[in-house]
Amino acid sequence: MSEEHDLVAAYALNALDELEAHRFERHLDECDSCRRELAELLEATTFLADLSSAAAPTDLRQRVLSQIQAPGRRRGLAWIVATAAAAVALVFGSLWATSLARLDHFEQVAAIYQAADAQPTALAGAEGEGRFTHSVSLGQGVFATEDLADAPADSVYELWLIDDTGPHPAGLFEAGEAVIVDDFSPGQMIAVTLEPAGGSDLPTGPILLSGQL
Amino acid sequence: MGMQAAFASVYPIAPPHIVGLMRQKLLRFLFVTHATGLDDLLTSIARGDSSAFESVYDQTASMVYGLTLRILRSPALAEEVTQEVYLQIWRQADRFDANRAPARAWIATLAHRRAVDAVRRIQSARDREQGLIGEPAAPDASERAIEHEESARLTKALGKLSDLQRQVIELAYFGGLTQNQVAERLGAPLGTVKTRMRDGLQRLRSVMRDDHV
Ligand SMILES: [Zn+2]
Repeated sequence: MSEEHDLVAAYALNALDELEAHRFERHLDECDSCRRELAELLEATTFLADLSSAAAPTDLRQRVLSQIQAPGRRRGLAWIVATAAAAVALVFGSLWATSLARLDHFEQVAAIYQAADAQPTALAGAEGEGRFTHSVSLGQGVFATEDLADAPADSVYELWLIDDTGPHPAGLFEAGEAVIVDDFSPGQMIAVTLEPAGGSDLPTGPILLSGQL
Repeated sequence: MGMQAAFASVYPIAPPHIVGLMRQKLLRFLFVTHATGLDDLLTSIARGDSSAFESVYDQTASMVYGLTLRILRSPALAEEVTQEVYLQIWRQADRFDANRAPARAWIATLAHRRAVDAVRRIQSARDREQGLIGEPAAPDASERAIEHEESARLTKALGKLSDLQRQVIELAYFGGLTQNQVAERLGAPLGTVKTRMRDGLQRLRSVMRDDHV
């Protein structure tokens, strides 16, 4: 128990990892003294927040107000962050044997990989790695993954191409399968989410892998 | 006049001795009295009152934007996260519990969590790429400008802490590090980090209550 009390300041600072934070929240439900101390420590963190004040851009107010009138039309934070963290393209090395072993369209894929203008894009994420190799002259690309766990029952991985106009579905796949994409353009983000079986028109799950063409 | 008008909208029956206080004193007042005005506004938002939402935005936007800007060091990302924070306030105002923390603390906590979540995702994507892209880029002009604008009041408040108290709080609260990462970064035992976070925040709280920072 005393170990739990020790987490109160780190919790107030949001400096616990998810597991620890969850553990502390359970403790908080049953510990009056931690609830009392947390309220005190939050006065200090709120003080720090207030001392950080900076004038918000004037047009931000209208954007904030309009989003509550038309909710659901905005890109989620994850999409923005993925853009900021866009992966750097890897130099094309070897074929990804695990994915290719399960390919149905080997010849088509081989043509993309062998095209003179084949361009690889790496997708990074906590859950695995992905690679999108595309050829502008062929107008086709192939997406493959490595180390991605099997999708849970009733769900499927979905590939997205994202640009100024928002995310566009680019195909559904199971772990280890490759996806052939024939509608992409330079500068787009490419990303993977987990979606309900059958896929979604707009992403609903967090981004698992992402990169930039 | 602007401050008094804003004040009157928060406190329809403003206590006469409060009217005319300087902004800093008003902020202190809001802390010490637990900002009943904002609390009530959140209750109205939970019932779908969009004019209450506008008032909350006007009273808290500089805190939310300033805090997210300090953590993310990118005006574009700070704007995106600020929009997300207000969308969350609009949708989850019914989860606000005035018995746990005042409204200003609740909003500061939401903003801080969102910003730190973004920082951690960007960082983990960067860590994966480190071997490929080499040294992180030098801070850009906007980042340096933020550093130069660091509020004198914040510096003064943090100056009342011991070096170690200040470091652990800055790394966690503004740097988005977990307590384990803070300990690693400083080469200090985790137990010491926990203790300094706790007594550092308590010290800040008494600075806030007793001193005119
Ligand atoms: Zn406790």
